[in-house]
Amino acid sequence: MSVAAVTVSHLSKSFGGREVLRDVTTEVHPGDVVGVIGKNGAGKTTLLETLLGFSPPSSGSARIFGEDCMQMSTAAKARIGFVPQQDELLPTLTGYKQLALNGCFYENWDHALLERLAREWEVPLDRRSSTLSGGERQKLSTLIALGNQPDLLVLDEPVASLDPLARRRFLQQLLEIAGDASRSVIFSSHIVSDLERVANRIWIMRDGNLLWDGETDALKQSVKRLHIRARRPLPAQLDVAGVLTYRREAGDTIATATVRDAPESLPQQLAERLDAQVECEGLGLEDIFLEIHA
Amino acid sequence: MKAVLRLTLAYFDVVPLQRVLNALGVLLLLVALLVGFTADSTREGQLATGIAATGLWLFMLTPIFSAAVAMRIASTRSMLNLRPHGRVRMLAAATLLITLLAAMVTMPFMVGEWADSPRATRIGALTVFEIAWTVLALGWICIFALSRSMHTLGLMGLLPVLVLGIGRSGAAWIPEPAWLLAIAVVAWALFGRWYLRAGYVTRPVLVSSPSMDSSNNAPLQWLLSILPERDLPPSRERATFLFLLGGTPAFFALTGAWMGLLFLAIHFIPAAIDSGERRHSSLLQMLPFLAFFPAAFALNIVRRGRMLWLRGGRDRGSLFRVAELLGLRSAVTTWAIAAAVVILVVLLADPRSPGFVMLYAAAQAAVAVCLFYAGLSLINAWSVRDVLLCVGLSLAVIVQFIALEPHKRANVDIAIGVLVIATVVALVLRWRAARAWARLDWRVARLPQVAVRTG
Repeated sequence: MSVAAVTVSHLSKSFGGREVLRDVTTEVHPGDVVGVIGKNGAGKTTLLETLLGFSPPSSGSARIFGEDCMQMSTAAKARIGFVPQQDELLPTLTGYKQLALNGCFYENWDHALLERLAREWEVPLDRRSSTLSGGERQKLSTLIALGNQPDLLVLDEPVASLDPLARRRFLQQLLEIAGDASRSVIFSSHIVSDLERVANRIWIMRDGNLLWDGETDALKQSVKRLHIRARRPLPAQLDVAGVLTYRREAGDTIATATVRDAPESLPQQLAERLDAQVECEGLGLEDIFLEIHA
Repeated sequence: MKAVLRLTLAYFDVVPLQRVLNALGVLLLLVALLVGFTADSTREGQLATGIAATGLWLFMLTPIFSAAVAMRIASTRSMLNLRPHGRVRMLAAATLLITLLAAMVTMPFMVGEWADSPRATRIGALTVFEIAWTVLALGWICIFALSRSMHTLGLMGLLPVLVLGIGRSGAAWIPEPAWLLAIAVVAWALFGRWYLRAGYVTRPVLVSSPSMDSSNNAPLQWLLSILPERDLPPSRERATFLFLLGGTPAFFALTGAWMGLLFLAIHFIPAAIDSGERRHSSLLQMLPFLAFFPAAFALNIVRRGRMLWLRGGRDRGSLFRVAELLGLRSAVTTWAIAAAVVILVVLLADPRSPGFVMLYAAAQAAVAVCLFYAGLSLINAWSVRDVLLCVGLSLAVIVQFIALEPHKRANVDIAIGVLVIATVVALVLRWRAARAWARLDWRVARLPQVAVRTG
């Protein structure tokens, strides 16, 4: 087992008595591309910024490359690339100057890679960042985060301002560069289809809890939608472990249930117990996300 | 009508910070009542009035300085698409708010008149109301206009100085305070006419990103965006400076010169009319206003520090020391250049007591350093303790501003006292700031956010 890039243990975070992260425990290993999803205010940004040391944990710990996030050494920080939700570009400087200034902080800054990427991503480096569009600013922020060839790349909503075409190309290239087996990527996004396409692990956040932490495929395998059609009215509640949602329709003889971690025999069991016809359907990530938040 | 009333009340709560100020205001009013009821001498009566006035000031602080900006936010197209009749209501609420604030200012004077106190014979409550309404209405229009762009917003800090300067000289030209009110009503009516007819209201400039230049608060911010970039080789030191402070050393020197020139411009309008011993001393009295620049500057440094957390590889203790060193150096540069312009003009015009002038400047420099450290220590998203610190220090600055009376050139003891106290407080605040930075939370440390309500 490789050394974890990120180790989070019972991490909680409160702001003025309001708990925004609750007992989060997880790990990120080299080769992981973790997609973080959750509604607004679910705690995604707080989680990312807490584990990078911007915000001290209220309890628990977060370690990056084995070092406490609040006491990281210069060497550990030099292995991190971060794209914050609100960019940190200096508005009066051109892209070239921004890259050069950021490069001063790192010994392994790769100017050639950044200039190549800037051309491919169509980032006008000769313009002041205050004159760039939202998408161009996001791309420039990502370029800066890639400059030090980070072993851990953390991106908070990196594609929110990009059009679908640019988004797809951008993410693909990003993962080609940063997503090799020796590196880890964590990125949050509201665009679930992007996560589904590129992430091999998913964190689903709800109300500060890490509701799901696992392989994307395992998540899809574990959540199923059951279509139940019975001859007589179905019960008001479905007495089955792991029910996420349960809705009755049409005279209470038709119902849809979403269940998690259900045994393969569940449709058969339900069919016998409810004297109904039960069909099982696999869900995409977006549907799973919606069902979890229903 | 209900919406107008709700909007008017919302202006008293437009930033979360105001809730703490409101609570403090109520507390001070209660204290004033207590002192007033038990007072058995004129001095105690004056103390009660002073406390009541401070309480009222706390209530009014946000409506005076933020309401016009909030009105601009609420008037932008995205907001008004949802509320097509919003502008009429907002203008009505603004008028009501100005009247309410003017009435609040007048209240202590009305009480004075009823009590037939000697002070009341000097200035009538009606006159106070007329002057207050005028200042508030014109101030509202100015702030609404200045908040349009980053370049003009930097000048907002000069408004109080301008009001004092023009007010002092303008008083000689206005035969009756009622004229002032008439001028203000006409100006307000013209503003209202424009506001209701304007097809588009620009969104105001608000600091929302840590990378917004700290020079937002400085008048010369616009220089950074139009001057060609100097082709200096990038270095780690230069990068640290830019990320942390948002400008170059030359920029901060220029800002100081610009402030000094503005003070002179503002001063020479009344000075041309005024005569006597106050003429040039009033210029010296602008130095206390300069102390607020380092405070705002330091507050921004706290937020910008996050940009160096990963980049610089420093821990929070080391980051604090760099922020202190570079920030203090730049703030002092700006302050010293502006102060030098002021001192030079004062000494050239009236070279009688250079010793006192230098002592006065030294005391104000200590106050500025004190406020710089206060700014560096404000990391708790305007917690009660932070607000109390701000209110306490602001009151202290005002008290020493009044007590020093530079035109008398005789308050040497008070000036020395201010110098010593400010130095001691600066040391205490430095200790507080260093401790605060050890646990600095960049998800918490932020400037007051405007909470928009449109009724």
